[in-house]
Amino acid sequence: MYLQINPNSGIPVYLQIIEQIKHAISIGVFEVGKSIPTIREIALQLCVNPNTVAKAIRELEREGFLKTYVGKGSFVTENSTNINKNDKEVKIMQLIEKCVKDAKWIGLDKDVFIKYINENWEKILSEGEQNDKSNN
Amino acid sequence: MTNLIIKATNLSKKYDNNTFALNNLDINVNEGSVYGLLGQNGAGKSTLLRIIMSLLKPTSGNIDVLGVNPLEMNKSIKQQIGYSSDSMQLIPWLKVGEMLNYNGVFYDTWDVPYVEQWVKKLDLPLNKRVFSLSRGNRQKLALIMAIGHRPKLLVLDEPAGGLDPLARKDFLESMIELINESGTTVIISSHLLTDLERISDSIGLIANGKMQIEMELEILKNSTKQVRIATKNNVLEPKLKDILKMQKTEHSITITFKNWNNDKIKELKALFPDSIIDITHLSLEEIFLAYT
Repeated sequence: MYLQINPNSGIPVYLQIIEQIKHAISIGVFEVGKSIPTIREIALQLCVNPNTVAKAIRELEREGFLKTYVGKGSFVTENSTNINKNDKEVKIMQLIEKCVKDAKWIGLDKDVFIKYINENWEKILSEGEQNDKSNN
Repeated sequence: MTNLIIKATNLSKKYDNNTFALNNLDINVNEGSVYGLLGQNGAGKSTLLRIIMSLLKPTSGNIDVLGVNPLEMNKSIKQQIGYSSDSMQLIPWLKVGEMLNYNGVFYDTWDVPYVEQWVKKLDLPLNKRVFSLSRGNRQKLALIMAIGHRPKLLVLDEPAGGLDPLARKDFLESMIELINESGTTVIISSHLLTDLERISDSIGLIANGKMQIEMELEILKNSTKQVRIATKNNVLEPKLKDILKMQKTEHSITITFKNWNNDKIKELKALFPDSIIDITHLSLEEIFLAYT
């Protein structure tokens, strides 16, 4: 199974499971309209309490990622990819906030900071193109 | 409200030499939950579990297990409990199958197909003599003996002590299967905190015979945080509530908080302007060390 958690990391296990399932949905490991593994399967794979898995799945239902049909399993909703995108933007904003704080701390100029971002953007774009070429 | 399967208040156990193994301890175990019991060696975990099993008599205090005082339990209530501990005696010359049959005689509800299913699941060799079993297989046998009658409450005292990583994983998986299929209430004492972190719903931390903290694992993790502060100014020791541990150098300070909430960030930001404040999550092991 694709999911992975680290109970030692300090982040509550059910939050890690939620993140992992969202990630698996976003990259297509769990497909829209199809069911994800059962609570028992996930619990055994990750070696965690099934109650914790059930809690994560309930939360994903509440957020609209999954819909559970009794006796059939939990299915990835059509809407999940949209919500996932918003989720990711929030996360990026948090990362940028941290970056900006650190930059300010070491006394980096705002223009230099933005220049670094632009450079990185270009670098990653060109790496992507190279990857595309080498794949062909 | 969920039902309490175990409830004790002001429970004390004094031994003859005037030492307290338990000292006014309270415990509440919810029905259907997995309750992880932590504490240093000698903290009183085994004493508590033995009182729950009516193997020991408390000196004072109240305790209810499945609604009755353990000392007044009749046979039918005792049959709803399963127990496994290191000090439990297995009969070395019996074969595994014989040992299980022998154990089953004591229970009206001993479920032979269920036991066979578990033997198969855990890959336990029925024809081997008990004395020749590996430590891992012995623990598996003890576990099946404790659950073969489908208990409502399962009491496990250091069930995975001394197991190698593979055997521990097997054991954890069997616990997960058990919780998944039957909703049994489990109270489990262990020093393997990463394992407890995987399977516990609630945590009770015992120190010096007292319950230091008792709460849902997630709430415990969300309310215990470590804050690292780096500052260019000289660090003064902040006068704040709820500090479990604090470490200070000239330009940094690391504080572990209990009862964490977002108001604390505001307080810290006000106390340490122009500083980098990092908030980190703690593992159960780190939380345990911070509290003990």
